[in-house]
This record gives sequence, C-alpha cells and structure tokens, in this order.
Amino acid sequence: MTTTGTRQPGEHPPGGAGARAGGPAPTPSPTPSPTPRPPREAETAVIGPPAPHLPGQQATGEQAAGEKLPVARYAEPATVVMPALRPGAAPAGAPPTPGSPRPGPPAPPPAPPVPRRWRWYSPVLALLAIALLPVAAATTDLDALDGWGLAKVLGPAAWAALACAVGACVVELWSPRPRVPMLATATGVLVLCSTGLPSIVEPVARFTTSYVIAGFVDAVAGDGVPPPGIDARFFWPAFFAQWAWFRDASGAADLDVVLRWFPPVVVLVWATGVYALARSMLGGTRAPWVAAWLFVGLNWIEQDYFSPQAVGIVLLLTVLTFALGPLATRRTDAAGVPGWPPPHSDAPRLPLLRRWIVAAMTPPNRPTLPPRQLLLIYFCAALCLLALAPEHQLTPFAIIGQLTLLAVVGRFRGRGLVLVAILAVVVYIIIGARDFWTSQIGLLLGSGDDGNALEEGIAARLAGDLGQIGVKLLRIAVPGLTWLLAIAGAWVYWRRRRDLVPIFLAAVPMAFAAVQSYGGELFLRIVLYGLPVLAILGADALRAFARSNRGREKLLAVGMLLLFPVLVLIRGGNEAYMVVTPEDITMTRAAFAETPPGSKIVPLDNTGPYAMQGVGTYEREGDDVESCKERNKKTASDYTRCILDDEPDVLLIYTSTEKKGVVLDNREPGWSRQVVDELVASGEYRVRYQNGFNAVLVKTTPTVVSAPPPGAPGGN
Amino acid sequence: MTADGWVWASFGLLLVLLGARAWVVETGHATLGRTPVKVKVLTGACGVAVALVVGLVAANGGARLVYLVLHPEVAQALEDAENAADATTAPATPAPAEPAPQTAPPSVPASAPVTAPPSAPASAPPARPAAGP
Repeated sequence: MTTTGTRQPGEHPPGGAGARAGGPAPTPSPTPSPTPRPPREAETAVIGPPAPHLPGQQATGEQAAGEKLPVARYAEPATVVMPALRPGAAPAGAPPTPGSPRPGPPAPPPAPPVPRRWRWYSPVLALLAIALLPVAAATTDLDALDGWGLAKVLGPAAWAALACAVGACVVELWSPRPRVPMLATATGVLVLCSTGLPSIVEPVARFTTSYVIAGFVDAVAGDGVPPPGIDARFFWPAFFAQWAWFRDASGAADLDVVLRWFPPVVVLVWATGVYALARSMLGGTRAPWVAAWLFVGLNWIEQDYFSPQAVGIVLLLTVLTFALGPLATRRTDAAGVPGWPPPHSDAPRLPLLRRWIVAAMTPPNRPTLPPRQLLLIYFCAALCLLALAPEHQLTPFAIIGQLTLLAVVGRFRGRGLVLVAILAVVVYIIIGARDFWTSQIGLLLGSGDDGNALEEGIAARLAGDLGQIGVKLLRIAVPGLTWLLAIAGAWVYWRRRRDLVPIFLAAVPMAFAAVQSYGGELFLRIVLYGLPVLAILGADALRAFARSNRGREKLLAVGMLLLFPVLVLIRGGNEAYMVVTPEDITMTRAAFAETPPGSKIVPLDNTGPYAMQGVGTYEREGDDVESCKERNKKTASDYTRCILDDEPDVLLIYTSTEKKGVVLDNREPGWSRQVVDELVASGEYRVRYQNGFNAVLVKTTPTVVSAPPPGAPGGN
Repeated sequence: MTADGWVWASFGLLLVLLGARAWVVETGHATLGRTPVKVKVLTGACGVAVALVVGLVAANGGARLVYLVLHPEVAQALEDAENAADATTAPATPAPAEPAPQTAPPSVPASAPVTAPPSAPASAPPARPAAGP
C-alpha cells in the first residue's frame, strides 16, 4: 500500500483521515483482501462520460479500464483516488473474479419510470386555476362586503381556483420525480390564487396605507427632496426615492398598476427566499417547497403591500440566505475529536466547560466556494445591509440581531458583515436622520408602557361586529399555532442536528418588544420577521410527522386545502373598509385638482385613497379630522361638531368610511350620510360631488390660503 | 467638506478597508496557526478606521444622542420646548391670499353627475351584517 494517496476503490484511509466530518467511521475489512493490485492506469484514469451498457453485458475491470485507455495519463503520478470500475457495472450478486478489482458499492436501483399521467396532473390543475380567475373576478360581489370580508363575497369559481392551485402543488410534490420548474410554477399560481386574490377580484389596489405610500412617492418625485415636517417616515426615504425614480424614468403618470400587483409579486419573492433558506436548513427536494407554501399560507400579516418594509424583508431574506447558505460554515463536532460526541456509549462526556472552550477556540470551516464567489457574496450582502439602513426603521435591527446570533455561534463566514450593518445603521440614524432624533426623540425612546402597546396591538383590535371579531380571533390563533408548530419543528431539528439556533433566529425579533413606541403594529412585525424561520421549522415538523407514517401525507394535503381558504378569510377580513374603487380614485384626484394648494383636505376617517397625492402641497393634519380621533366614542353628530370645529376646506367621504363605521365601530348604517346632511344643513359646507356614500364637501366660505409654492409637486 | 461629509468619508474608507481585507483573506493561502502580515496590517487599519468612524459620529451628534437616551427627562423637555417654539412662531392666521376659485364648475368623476345631495343614497346602504356562526 502506497502512502501517496493512491488507494484502491473501496479502501479507506488509515485512521479515518480524510473522511468527511460527521461521516461514519470507516469499517476495516475483517480479512485483508488477497485481490492483486489492478493495473495502474485504472487508478489515474480520468472518468469519461458513461458509455451505454448493454443489458446482460458484464463489465469487467479490464473492460472498464479499456474504455478509458485513450485518456489515461501514464506519466503523471497518481494522486487522486479514481475508481476504475463504474459503480454497479458488475451485477451486485456476481462473485468477484480473480484478477479483477473488487466490485464497488451496489448501484442504486434505477428510478421507476414516472407514469405519464403524473406529468399532466399539475400543469392541468395550474392552468385550470388560472382560467378560473377571470370567472372569480366576474362573480365576486364587492358591494356585499361586510364584517366577514372578502371570503363571504367570493364566488365558487374563486374557491375552485384556490383548490386547483393547492392541488397543482400537492400533485407535483407527490410525483415520483417532482420537477422544479413545475413546482415553481405551481407556487406562483398558489400565491396568485391566495395572496393575490384581492388583486384579481378588485379593480384597483386595496388598502389605504398603500395609497399613503404612493402619496409619499408622489411628494418625492420631481425634485427628489422629501418634504420636511410632514411625516417621520420621510426620514427613511429610500423606498420613496426608488419608486419616484422608477416613475419618473418610465414616464408613468401614476403607480396604480404597481400598487395593485405589488402584494402577490413581493410574496412570491419572499417565498423564493424562504425556499432558498429551507434548502440550506432542511435539505431534500420536497421539504423546501413545503416550507415556502407554509410561509405563504401563514402570512396573514399583510405587510406585503406597496411599502418600505416589504422591500426591507426582501433584503433581509437575501442576507439571511447568504449567511445560512453559501457563507454557512459546516457544522462539525462542537469540541473536535475525540471527546464529543462520546466515542462509545459507556464513555463519560467531557465537562461542559471544556466543550465550550474547545468549541469557542475551534476556527469555523471555510465554505467550499471559490474565493471570488465568496467575495461577490460578501459584496452583495454588504450592499443589501447598506440599502436597508435608509429603507426602513425596524428591519435593519432584525437582521442585525439575527446576524449577531449567527456570528456568536460561529455559523457563517464573514462576520465583518455584522460590523457593516451596525455602523451603517448608526451612521445613518445619527448623521442622515439627525432631524428625526433631534425633533422627535420621544419616538426614539419609546414610552416603555408594555401594557399600552399590548392593548394597542391586540386588545384594541378586537372590535367590530361578529365577523370582525371572529376574523381577529383567528389572527391571534394563527401565530400561536405557528409558534407551536415551529417549536415542534425545533425539537425535530434538535434531535437530528443538535442545533437550536433556528428557533432563536425566529425569537430574535422579539427584542423589538422593548421598542414600545412603534405602536400596535410592532407585534405584527415581530411575527413577520420570525415567520420565514418558523415556517421552515414547521416544515421540518411536518416532514417528521409524514415520515413516521406515509398515510399522513394525505392528511397534510387536506390540511393545506383548509389552510389557504383560512388565509383568504383572515387576510380579507377587513375588506369592507380596505377596498378601494376606481370611483374613489377619480373622486380624490378631482378633489385635489379643483382645490388650490395650501388648502386643508381631510378624510372623514382614515379610509380610502385620500393621501394618494398632495403631500406637502395641501395641509393635512394626520389621517383624520383632528378633533375626532377617538372615533369609537363618536356618534355622527359628534363628527359633525368636530368638523365644524376643525373647519377643513375639503372633506372626503368614501363608501369604505361608511362601512368601517358600521362593521368596526358598530355605528348605524347611513351614519356618514347623516354627517353630510348635518354639515350641509349647517350652511358651512356644500356638496361638490356625491354618489352613494362617496362625497366631496367643500366650505361655502373658503379659507384664504397662501399662494402655492413655486414648483410644488402637483398631483400624480 | 462638512463635518457630516467627513463621517461619510470615513465610513466609506472603512468599507474599502474591509473589502481589501476580505480580498486578501479569501484569495491568500491560509496557513494553520499563522496570520499573514498583510492581513494583520489590514486588520489594524480596519480597527483604526472603526475608531475614526465612531469618534467622528460621536463628535457629530452621537454623544448628544447617547446623553438624551440616558436622560429621557431632558430629552422630553427639549422636545417640548421645541414644539412650543414651533407653535409660537407659526402664524396665528393664514396669510391673505386670493380666495379659492369658485367660478369654474367642479368636474365630477365620469358617469356620476350628482351635484346635489340626494335624499337617499344612490345605492342602498348595506345593512348590518347578520349574526354569523
């Protein structure tokens, strides 16, 4: 036996040297093989493409070597173990013939041919789902929206489309050989039929806040300078500037189409990130897809509208995927060999302190990537971290917490990225957002009132009619069940890999609970930032559940078929007052166009697209009539009095305002009409436009306003 | 260059140094137990750059922010004083200007030519939702 590294196929290095970390220890042969040494060319031959092997033909070592003779290198020393015999070339049961090398490990049995019908099930179901969507849009009655939201008004075609999308995913996953392109397509269809359902059945984008952001973009467009003293979100203007640039560069007059299709597109990008993360954390070919679907199915939080945090989470997932994927250091024994894990069952474990010390002093392994690829990944990750600082207030802290945790436990290479992220945020806040913390230090410090934030985040939201309360209870239940499933997955992950880091990654955003000033949405963000990892752990738990009994796979398929309708119910629960109609948009634009800049335009309540333009040009004190903040304690007459006290120049009233008062604040139907009538009867206001509940009221004696600033941004 | 410019410049210098160090570390030949001199030099330079960034940030508002965070009552008093100053400097009455134009007929959204408040909504207001399950 030579010591230059030349080994026979099937031989192991002495003492296990060269074995992969974590792999099984080599088992020495009980009796030395008397097999003579094969020809030398067999050791250094370069393996060519596999030659066709006729059935029944028995390939001997000489034949196999002879096939590679034209490329054999005789002059070079043998330094690499190259099997001369193709694995499985000889029949598994054939005894080795004298003079031939020992047969290699038996080849895996050939994969059974995929029945042709499997190839068509998933595409047909996906196409059927797509074909049903226009029917779903045509049969949905948006005028009938009430406290139960979108789920109640959807037609059978919408539910059938959703079922077909789920079926396309499940059938392809059950296929003997799942096709990645088909799984990706089915995932896209699933997102379109669940998260994207409002974008399909509603003619324009929903959700008031997305129009507020569009208004911010409109304010930044043109001169590219955020208007001062309007909103604290302008201190993180990257998203607004980015889309203002897109809008100006494309010559588009508005972003209505972008607003409408932004949620399904961004959720699809998030799902791609979760899939990439799950591939690194779980492995396998099916579990990562399940993790992505679980993420989509559990993501009721609705932070995927046109907003900075939506893009922030894309950047967060990118960095996290880098850290846990190509930059991840392989997990080896915590304290080296020997000692941990115990070499045999009777051996005493080393003291914990020693294991910790050895683990801390053991340098992490380098990722198995070429240096230039590593450098490119460092560059991209640093770019994402730098872009996050001016993008959103909270997201940088989430990724800093997660990266710090991974760096402390030595799970990724490139710990300088943590330094880059921290310094980018610190420099940006202190230098770039100086006006923010000098003028609004109270927001930065927070109130520290835990109970208040809890009440605002959870208890105060449990209001409205029966449908609203039912939907909101479901919203509380789903994160709880998500965490339970993830904890079960963490247990499975621990048993398999002795690793608790993932569950801590999901828990890191909980540190935000200290930032109470962020308000009730903080809890939504906590759930959202942890959701990718929670979904991956949940997929691990479901995989273990299904592996123990294959019959449970059908149960899981049924569970998926139930999960997505629940998602539609929860996400669309506020649709009665989140929906925006084309008439709302036209009415708002006309109101701004006919009102001189500097006037005060306010909505009756914070619903509708009232803020889609005019930021910085028109006066607006918040999202509501200033003196009517406690809306749940107000009657229609109280609103009238508030408006007469506040004296806005233009009052915008939407159908969604009326419905919000009815389903959420338990007011009598027609309350907004009563407000309009009372205001007109007072003589202070007149109706400029009215159709149904939509109305534009203007003061009969307009307030004198200052001249419009030169070059002020107009409407979009 | 302004003080803020120096902070951004030092931060950019730090990024360049971190990138150079990453290049040297990843493309160099690692030797177990020994750190190449180039890496040591760049590590020291990165440390100096970090100190420079931290010092400049502290001098340009960081120290003040830390003080305000550690003394929230002072911060709140300053914020209140600033708000009061804003309120006193704001004009009590709006500046005179020409009134809003009233001559042009207001345009209305297409297919909705309603200019007077109808006695009843064009579309019947939705009734309160029935008690669900």
